Amino acid sequence: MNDNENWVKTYSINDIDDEDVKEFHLPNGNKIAVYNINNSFYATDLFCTHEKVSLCDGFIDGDSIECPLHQGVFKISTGEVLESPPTEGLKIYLTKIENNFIYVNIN
Amino acid sequence: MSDICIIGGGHAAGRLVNNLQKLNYNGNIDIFSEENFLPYERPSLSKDFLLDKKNINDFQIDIDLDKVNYYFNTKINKVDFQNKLIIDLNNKSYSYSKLIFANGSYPKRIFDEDIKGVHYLRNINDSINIKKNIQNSKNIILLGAGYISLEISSSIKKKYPKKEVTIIDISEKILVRNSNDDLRELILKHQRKNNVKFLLKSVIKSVQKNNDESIEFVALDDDKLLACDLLIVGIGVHPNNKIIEGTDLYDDNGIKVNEFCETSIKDVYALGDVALAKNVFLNKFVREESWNNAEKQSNILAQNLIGTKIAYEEIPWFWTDQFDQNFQILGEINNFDNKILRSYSDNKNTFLYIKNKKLIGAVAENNGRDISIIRKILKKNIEPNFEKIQNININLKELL
Ligand SMILES: Cc1cc2nc3c(=O)[nH]c(=O)nc-3n(C[C@H](O)[C@H](O)[C@H](O)COP(=O)(O)OP(=O)(O)OC[C@H]3O[C@@H](n4cnc5c(N)ncnc54)[C@H](O)[C@@H]3O)c2cc1C
Ligand code: FES
Repeated sequence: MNDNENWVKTYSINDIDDEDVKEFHLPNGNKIAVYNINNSFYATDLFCTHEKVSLCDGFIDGDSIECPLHQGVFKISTGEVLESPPTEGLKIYLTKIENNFIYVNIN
Repeated sequence: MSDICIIGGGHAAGRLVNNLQKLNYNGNIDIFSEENFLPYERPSLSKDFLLDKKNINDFQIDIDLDKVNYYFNTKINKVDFQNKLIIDLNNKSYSYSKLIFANGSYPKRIFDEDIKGVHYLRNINDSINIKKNIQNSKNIILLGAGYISLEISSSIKKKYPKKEVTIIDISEKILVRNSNDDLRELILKHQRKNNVKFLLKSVIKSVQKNNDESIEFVALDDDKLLACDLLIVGIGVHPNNKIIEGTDLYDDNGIKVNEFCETSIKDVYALGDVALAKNVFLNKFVREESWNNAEKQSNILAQNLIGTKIAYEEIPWFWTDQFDQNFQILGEINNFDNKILRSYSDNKNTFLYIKNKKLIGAVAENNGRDISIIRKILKKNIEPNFEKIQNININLKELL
């Protein structure tokens, strides 16, 4: 696979408000969450690692996302757990912006 | 002699050790647990563990066993505060420098004797036994309409929709503790939709047994007989405070501590379900019986034990998951003089409670995001704009 094929085009940077997050389905079927934090764009797995619930229903506070079910907190930029109950970090994806679109690296 | 001696090996004890280890504490730690398992969190025992969706590895607490003395199957029976000793059931004594009560609570019993087919749910073995028995039972009765019974009924009906599940309670309402009418209504809606039956204002007087001594019927106070091959009792818990009976620390409702988890005796602390703790937000002593309380008090106590004095200032918060719905309670939800309902859809609602024009608490159905925001509002003591709250088109986040 050449590097271009690793990058998946997701939303336009104008589609996601500041401090907001949107669900996106990758071609391989995986579901991810794409975030706008102060005009920096990040992507993580969609589901909390504690139970299968969408983090898009959670609360973004600065660089962290609080899970809606049991208020576990992850750092969006690194995926690390900041507050339990989850113990396992969140998978994160590299992102880049090209022509105002957010690309996510699935490699 | 240990530097830190912990009675109990449950959630609070496990997380306390885990936190101390993260803080690089290198004193001697002794842990005495009457269980045969390393510390674990309990919420899954009535939910995903019963449904075989989680196993113990998913909720066991990670501690470095090389750095602690772990006494499994060791029940502490007595404490001698004067001589700084704890004594186990075999009369063996152990000395301590600092003593922590993390021994939780136990389910109240309906009968003194053990009866085949009558179960209580507190630990992993209870959950394994109940799981096995659910499979072979047709008529299941849950005594007590509290959170544990409502979660068990949900787990049973999700796995076996055809099994008869009846919840019996002496009160005319479900959830007499730690609830309000708004939450009761939300929860009852889902329970009834899934064909859980309720017999309120009813009392189980006795049980009738088969020849093999297993349970066949329960007899109610109006002499009505109900077929029953499995009776699970969830009528509340009592703090494990018997081991300090006769000492100055004894209180029927737990071990009294201030907001630093300190008792009135120097070097003696309590946390988790057993602690009757000063809650700064409610300005009273409460025994919270919640995951959050065990989790967060253990953070505070770990810091305090290494010399960084921090007060426990959490706002009481509790969740329950039933029939794939998540309900959360935050703060004070009873003594209000006004309330606002933000209804997003049939199954997504938030009630906000107000007293003297101040927000004091909330109940949410499938809306943890609102709870996160309301917690911030309460912590920062923000005076909210109630007109904005009433407007469902305004994101609560705007109030921060
Ligand atoms: C089935 C179930 C479901 C729950 N679900 C939720 C939920 O959804 N949300 C929520 O917020 N909370 C929930 N809780 C409550 C939460 O699990 C408790 O509040 C929490 O476990 C309290 O932690 P603790 O360490 O104080 O007590 P525990 O975890 O009970 O630990 C106490 C330990 O001390 C041991 N012990 C007691 N006496 C002695 C002695 N004399 N010597 C040695 N060992 C002793 C006990 O055996 C036990 O291992 C649930 C509880 C149960 C039982
Ligand atoms: S599901 Fe996310 S914290 Fe439990």
